[in-house]
Amino acid sequence: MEVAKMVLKHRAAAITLASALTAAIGALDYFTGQECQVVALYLLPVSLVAWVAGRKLGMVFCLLSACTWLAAEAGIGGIHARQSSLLWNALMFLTVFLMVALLLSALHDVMNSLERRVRLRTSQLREEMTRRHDADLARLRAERLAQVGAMAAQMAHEVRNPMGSISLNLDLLACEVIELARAMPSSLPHDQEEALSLVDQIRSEVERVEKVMQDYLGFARLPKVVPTPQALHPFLDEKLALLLPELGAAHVRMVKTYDPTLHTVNIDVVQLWQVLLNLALNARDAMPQGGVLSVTTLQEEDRSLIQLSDTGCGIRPEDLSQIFTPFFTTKARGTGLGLALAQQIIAEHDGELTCHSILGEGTTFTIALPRVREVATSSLKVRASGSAQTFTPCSTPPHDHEIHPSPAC
Amino acid sequence: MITKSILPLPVELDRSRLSLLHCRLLVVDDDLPMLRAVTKVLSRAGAQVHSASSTAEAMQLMADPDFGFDVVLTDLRMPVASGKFILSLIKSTHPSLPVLIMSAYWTPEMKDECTRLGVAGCLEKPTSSRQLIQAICRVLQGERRPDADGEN
Repeated sequence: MEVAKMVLKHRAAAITLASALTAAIGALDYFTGQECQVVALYLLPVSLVAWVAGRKLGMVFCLLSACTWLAAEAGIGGIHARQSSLLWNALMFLTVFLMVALLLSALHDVMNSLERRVRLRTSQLREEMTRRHDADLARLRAERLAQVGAMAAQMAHEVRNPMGSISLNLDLLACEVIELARAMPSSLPHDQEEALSLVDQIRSEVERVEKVMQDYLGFARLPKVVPTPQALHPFLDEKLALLLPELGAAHVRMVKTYDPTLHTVNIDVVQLWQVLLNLALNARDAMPQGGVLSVTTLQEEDRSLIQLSDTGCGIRPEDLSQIFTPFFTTKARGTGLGLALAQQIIAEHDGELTCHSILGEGTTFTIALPRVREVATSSLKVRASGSAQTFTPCSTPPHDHEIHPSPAC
Repeated sequence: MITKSILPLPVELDRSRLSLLHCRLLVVDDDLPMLRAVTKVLSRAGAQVHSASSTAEAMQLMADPDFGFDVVLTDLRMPVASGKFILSLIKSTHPSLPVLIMSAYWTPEMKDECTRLGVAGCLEKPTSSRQLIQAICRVLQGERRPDADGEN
């Protein structure tokens, strides 16, 4: 079985075998002295070669077989009167061999091309299936988020109305406490403070509920992304500066490394800022002891990358595949919606948000934004490079500048 | 529902309290606890507050010539007729009367539509009493002047 498979696969093996067979049949022909009885056997090597090695070699073998037969016959009978009939017979056999060889090689070609088409189609189908699967997943996720939004919009009325009256009543309660203390000077100031601190505690819990509600409403409110061509570096400089106090308080240092060849990209400024804010605050939370947040831009062939890397605790490998799933969170007070929203926003930009993390070493989030379409680029590029130079002169010559928040870690 | 005394709120309201003094407000909300809380807070800030728990009630109060309201504060989502309806009605009968709309949930479209109808301000629930009073003060300061000019 193995030998047969090998012979069918390797031309050299097949040709060797076929040659040996031809010689053996020729010998058989010669020694048995039968005139035409074994001639059909020659078809064996011929078909083998025609099948494995193709049409040309098959035809060569037809000729070889016919000659071998002729030689064997000639050897048996000597050169005698039936020479012409022998030659005639040889020619006839040659024709038969040739037909068989051609037929077989043609069949083989058809089979091969069919097989190739099947293979091609299978791989196409597989690709299509993965693509559809990915698209389905993305759609499902988007639908799920939209449902969260729709539900949140509905819930908002049910939750925020009572929250509204609780919030106002708390203010009133605080007034009453102060009034009461004023009316009864005999009561201890400690009681008043205690009562006011209780009011404050309730108020902070109201704010907490409100924060959760805001997270959920993020999806309901998510307006259509309206991208406009922007030079990324001025945008990043402006927005990241807003984060410095927050990061400084957490002893996080920000290091910016810009790629001066960065193209203009189409972004929705408000929504991309949402994403950056989310990623940066996550990075801060991942570094409770302080650390470094690196913001890096990179220009690739057809996309622009913004990378945010922290030197924090990293994400466990089993959590990594889940981080963009709505409601997945590892934070005690998280809603699990931040990264899902971020990914949704980047997807709406036709971009990609990916995460790479090493436990204990840090996490890198990469925002990949597609290149602005060709039609628009020529004019925009000129404007972009111009504005980049005038807007942030510092961002072009030194590619690396650091910002140290006051208490350096 | 006129206030008995002006009590301090636990926020620095000195200036805003003064400006809410003697101003007549109409508050419309179908959510009774909210209506009560808003009424109390605004009363404490010195305003004369009238409250209505439905659009019909509000319309009745509006129709009464005894009440000349300075500002109307209404909820957006109410059964039967929404705050938007009140807004468009008021804008057709009393074009100069400022209307503030409060809602637990604002969509950008809804905000746009209300702005188009001439809303004086959109408030989001939950709101602190300080935000509430500041919003009303802003409207009063902004809106009273052109009115006064017109009368003069």
